[in-house]
Amino acid sequence: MTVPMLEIRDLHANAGDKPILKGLSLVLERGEVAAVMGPNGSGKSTLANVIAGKPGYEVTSGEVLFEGRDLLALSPEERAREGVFLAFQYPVEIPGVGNMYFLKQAVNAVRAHRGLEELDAMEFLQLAREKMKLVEMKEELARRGVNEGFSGGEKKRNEVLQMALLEPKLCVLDETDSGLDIDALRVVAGGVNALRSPERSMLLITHYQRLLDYVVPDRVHVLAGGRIVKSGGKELARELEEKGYGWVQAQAGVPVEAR
Amino acid sequence: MSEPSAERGFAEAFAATAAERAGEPAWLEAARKAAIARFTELGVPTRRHEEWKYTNAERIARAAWRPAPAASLAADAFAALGTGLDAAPRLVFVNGRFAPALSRLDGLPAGALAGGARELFAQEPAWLAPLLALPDALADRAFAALAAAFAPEAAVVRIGRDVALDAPLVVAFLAAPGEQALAATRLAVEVEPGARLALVELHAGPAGAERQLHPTLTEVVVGANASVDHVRVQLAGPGATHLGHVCARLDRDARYASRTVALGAALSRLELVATLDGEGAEAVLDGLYVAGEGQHLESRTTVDHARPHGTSRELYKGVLCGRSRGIFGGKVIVRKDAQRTSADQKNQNLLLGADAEVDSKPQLEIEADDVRCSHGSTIGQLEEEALFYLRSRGLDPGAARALLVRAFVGEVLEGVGEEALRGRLLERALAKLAGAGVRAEAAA
Repeated sequence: MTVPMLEIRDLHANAGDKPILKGLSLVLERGEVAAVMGPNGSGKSTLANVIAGKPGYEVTSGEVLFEGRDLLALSPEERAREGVFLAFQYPVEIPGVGNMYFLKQAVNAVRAHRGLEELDAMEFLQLAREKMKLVEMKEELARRGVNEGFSGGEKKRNEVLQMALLEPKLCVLDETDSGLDIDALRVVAGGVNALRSPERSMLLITHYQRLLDYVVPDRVHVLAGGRIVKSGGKELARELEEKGYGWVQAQAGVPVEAR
Repeated sequence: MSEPSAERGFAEAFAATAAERAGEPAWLEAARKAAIARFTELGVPTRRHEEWKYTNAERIARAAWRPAPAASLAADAFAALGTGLDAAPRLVFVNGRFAPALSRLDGLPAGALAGGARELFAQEPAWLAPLLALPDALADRAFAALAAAFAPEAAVVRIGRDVALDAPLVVAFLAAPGEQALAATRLAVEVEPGARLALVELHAGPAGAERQLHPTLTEVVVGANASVDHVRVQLAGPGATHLGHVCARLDRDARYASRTVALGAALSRLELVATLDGEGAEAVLDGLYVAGEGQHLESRTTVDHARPHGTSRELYKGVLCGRSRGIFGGKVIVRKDAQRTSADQKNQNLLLGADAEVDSKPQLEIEADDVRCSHGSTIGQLEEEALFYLRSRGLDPGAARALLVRAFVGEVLEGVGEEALRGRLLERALAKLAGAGVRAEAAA
């Protein structure tokens, strides 16, 4: 049996002082695209941030294995270089740091780790242009600061562009569909689909079914009260869209919290 | 009190320089005597002076300073500074005296004059004496008076009517080695109506860590419709106390852009006064101070809007690490006559050391009623969210911090027109932050 891309075992984690994940277990196979759906406050973003290693999130017990190895022992940059990528729900704006300059540094940091030669300015530019077509990103945005003055949709495209450039093994997309109009959603989803491969796994974290019309998952997991309460095929997403989350929560004995 | 006062100590030191002053015209000797008298009259500022609250002038003045003697430096002394400006025309002064052997003045256009004041004494042009008087705008600054009294020879730059000097002219003041040396410097610049000047004023040395005192005085007169880009770089030696003064007077529709960069010295205090003395004048005052372990860097600016329709925009940024101190005091004055003035002022500080300290005080004095003024100051650390974002893409923390610091200081440095100099300044600034977990090589 092959080792899963990601295996989470009985994970408990706090955001600040507040316990959010309460015994989450999940397996993501190599090449698998899984959706994690759940109501607000169920722990979706905490899961994404714990996988990426964001400061401020404390794992109190449990394990996260990436290709069989302890992911939690790695720093955020080590995770990125090993092939873990988080597409942020709210990508930060960093004025003054050129988008292209930053992307080149990131690509070369990852390449160096993988024993590949660093790309020079011309080689990188060529690669970046090619990948920018994938997300239909305007050249002008590449010359600005990182996400500086980008619209919501442009920020999400920039995330998918980074994903395409860094060629990760595991992509975690945190609410990548939020704040996108239908055209932007189509473009972003197209970019994600183009990156699907038997060697790459994806975790689509989302509140809505909408994204899943474009990026069809192999499996759907329902996150409620800090743990996975139900798993199923892609049809589960449609059922959730129609009936809401209440019935799953009731079935699993998770109290429905007012937020 | 048996101990001689600091003022008397300086007056005696001044008397001791009489021999060197012997060849100077009578009007200059009179101006120097007036300046030392003014210094004595003003006295060394005490902590009760609001503007000297954070810098102990009495302690500075108490030491036994000796006027720096004439000295020579190696032929590559300027190149050794690594400014990237080796090909530019330059005036080099060593211990406040013109050093023709280190200077190069080929390539100056007709109508542009640059040199040491002594060369002009024979012809004595009519404009020289007024240019070398103590400027009114700095008449109440004791250490500006001290610089006027002691500076052995002024650097003089004069750009004639409608002449354009766009490649930068460098005026470099180098301090030679010498314990307890008082090395005063003076720069007088006049840009006639319609003319244009790009000027880089540089203060550097000594190479060692000896204690020295560097009072400096620069005056820039910007004629009607003239334009001056003035970059001022302070790279004084690690034991130096640098007391810098700059005043600019802008005539009608003149434009003056100042970029000050303070990186060197143990203690540095810059006073900059820009007077918008003609209608429609425009001043840009940007500054950067980067303090490493133990440094004390102060910047004080005054923008004096004296006439209507003036515009001023100011951005001073500080990066402080280790146990360092940064001080910004910015005053904007809008006189009664200066209607339709627009003035913006910002001071932003980045604290990279747990023991670093910043004091920021903006001040508005507005007498006119139809004006638009804004000011603001911030003190903060690198944004955690941004750091994590960069790390999550594979950058190590040192490289991520360097990128963010580079962006922070870049906003000021991008105003430095000469790309080579800008790059060197960025490198030097980041190199100072190595102790604060900023990886300097990531800057390249």
